[in-house]
Amino acid sequence: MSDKLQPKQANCLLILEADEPQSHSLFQLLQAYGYACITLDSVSQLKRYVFDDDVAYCLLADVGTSRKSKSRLDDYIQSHPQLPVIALSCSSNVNMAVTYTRMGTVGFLTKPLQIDSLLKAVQDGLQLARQIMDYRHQRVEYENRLMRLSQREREVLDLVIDGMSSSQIAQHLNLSVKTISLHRTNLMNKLEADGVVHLVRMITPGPIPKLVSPWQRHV
Amino acid sequence: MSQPNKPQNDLPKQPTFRDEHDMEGTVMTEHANIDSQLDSESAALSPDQMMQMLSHLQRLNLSSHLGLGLAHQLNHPLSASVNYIQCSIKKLQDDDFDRQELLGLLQHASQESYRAAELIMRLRRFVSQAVPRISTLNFNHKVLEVAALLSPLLKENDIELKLELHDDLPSLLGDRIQIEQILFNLGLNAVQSLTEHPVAEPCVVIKSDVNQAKTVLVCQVLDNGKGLDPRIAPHLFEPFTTTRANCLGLGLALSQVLSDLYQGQLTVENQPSGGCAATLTLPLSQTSENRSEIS
Repeated sequence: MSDKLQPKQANCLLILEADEPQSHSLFQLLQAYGYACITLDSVSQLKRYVFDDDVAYCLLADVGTSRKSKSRLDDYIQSHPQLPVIALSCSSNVNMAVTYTRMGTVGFLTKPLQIDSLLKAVQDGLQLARQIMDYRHQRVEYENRLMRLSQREREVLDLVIDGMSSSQIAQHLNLSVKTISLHRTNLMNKLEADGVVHLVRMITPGPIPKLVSPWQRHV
Repeated sequence: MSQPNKPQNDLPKQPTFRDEHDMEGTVMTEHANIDSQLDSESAALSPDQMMQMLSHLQRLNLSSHLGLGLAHQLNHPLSASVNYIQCSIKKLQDDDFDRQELLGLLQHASQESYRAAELIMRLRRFVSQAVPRISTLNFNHKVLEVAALLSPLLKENDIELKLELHDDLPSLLGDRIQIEQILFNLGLNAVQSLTEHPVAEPCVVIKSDVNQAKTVLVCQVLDNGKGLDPRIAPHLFEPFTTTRANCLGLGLALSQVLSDLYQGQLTVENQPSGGCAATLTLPLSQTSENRSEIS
């Protein structure tokens, strides 16, 4: 495919934890395993955080705090589907685990943390974060290319995607087949597309990547 | 909640276990006493012993209100400690560490483990079945101790705790656990009133003060909740009076009996500005007579 994206390796783990010793200890632990980390002590601090577009972020959030801050965090998680989240909880409450899993968190870990499950969750989280970042970069790239089209070219593109042949489009727009062919060649060049399927993918964004559950991998 | 935490740091990092052993000693003899009494006098307990058992039962009941919050509270230091240890293990495995850095991590780990131990000890002290022991007490320390016991409940419900403590209180003669029990009851009432009828900025204030002559200690526990139910106000200090489904209704009754032991007074009333105010006054000049009465 012509639009290969540059692989980006920068990762960052955001640690959202109000309890200072826990936050500091988790920071030290993850750094020892070679991860770049940033500690945040509240949802409002998370909201103020300025994300770098070229870094893959994964959020490790303590969900066992007071009711008020918990609902603020839940709102944040649900309104930011592009940020993979690992929920850290003091209690192994099944309802809570189900709630967070349905919200799409990458992992639900109980404290004290088991090092193996922590590392596995972080790997999953960052892998997903990179997929989401690539997806986002690709969307931006496609949007930029679509901006290059003239109004007429955009019109032709929409008809192509509707499944019309050049002669049908010519008839529809009351133009010659030759003109339509010219528009098609131009728009294919401008969009750097290598086929109609590619065009469809540019126009209709696929779903945001999600973590593939282990049981789905084998299907 | 930053205020009650601060003095905690002043506590010795390494808990003193001696006190604990002392107490367990007394617990044992206490059992022996009651048992022998049961045998010889066909279950006739003296009023003093009834009182001791009743207040012990009420403390056990009180501690059950801490419930999950306490388990969470305990998990925090353990969790941090495990993280520090795992981090040290990783650094040793990689054989890539700075001696000073590793030392720091392990010190953090031990400090956090002590923090967990301290929580458990505080609760054990509170629910222990000890014979009242009179000693000179710093009343403000008792307030801080109770604030620490209540802190999981306060955190869970986003309740702010303000402490307005008189910084030059004369010391008080009394039994540590009895005083803590009164304060805990008043504090828990305030917290429960705020959780049952939530308000915008729930807040509990605990004040300690002394009169000009330095003869009477005054402690107030205030909340900004709904206030007393008028139906219950006339019967406030009668046992088994409660508006709460899961409560025994012994808290205020017992607190009044306990404050009576100190010739003190306990009043509970609504504040003009809303919410409830519990006022405890304790005379400070304890004669030897009073002392023997309490013990």
